[in-house]
Amino acid sequence: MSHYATVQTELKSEDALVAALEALQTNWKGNIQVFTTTTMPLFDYVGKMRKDRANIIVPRKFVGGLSNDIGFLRQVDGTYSAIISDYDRNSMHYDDAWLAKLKQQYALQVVLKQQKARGYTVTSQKVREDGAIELLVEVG
Amino acid sequence: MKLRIVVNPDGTTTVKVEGVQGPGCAKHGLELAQMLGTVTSDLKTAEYYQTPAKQTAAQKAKEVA
Repeated sequence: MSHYATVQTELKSEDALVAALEALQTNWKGNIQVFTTTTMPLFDYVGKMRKDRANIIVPRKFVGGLSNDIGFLRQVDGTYSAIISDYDRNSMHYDDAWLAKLKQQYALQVVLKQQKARGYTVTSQKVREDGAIELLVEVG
Repeated sequence: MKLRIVVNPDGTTTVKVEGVQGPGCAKHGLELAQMLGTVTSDLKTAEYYQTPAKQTAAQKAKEVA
């Protein structure tokens, strides 16, 4: 081994973030709204417009019965931050643990997209006992 | 060259470059790491500073000729 880097994962790629959301919540597949060049308002559980706006929106009907829209807003530095209501954080489990799982799935999607784009080959993929996903990628 | 990538449940990822000597091999690993987020540590092992074996063999052949 010649080189070893540790990375704090940041949600930066729109495509990888949507793919990660769809992988985590299968009923969200095809139902996530993406606004690359603009933001749209989020709505609460009774359909009232909230002051929050987002670039990537999961409509409330796919989140849960009494849920609000979940959104991701692109920041000035290009990273996405999650907008999740207190109700959905506390009662629907879209909490910090869920966000950590989302980051893990996001990182996996970035690697898989890169290996396609660059012609790398994933020779093994496994989930370790500690919950980490280990990939072995052949380059060149 | 191989990249061993470990995506941890806490939102961190480690990228290790394996199987090649010299600084050239680190490029792929670092590029991927930067796409994932902020690189918080970037360690180079002794192998990084070694001359790639192929290059040494080529140099020796040149010397003999």
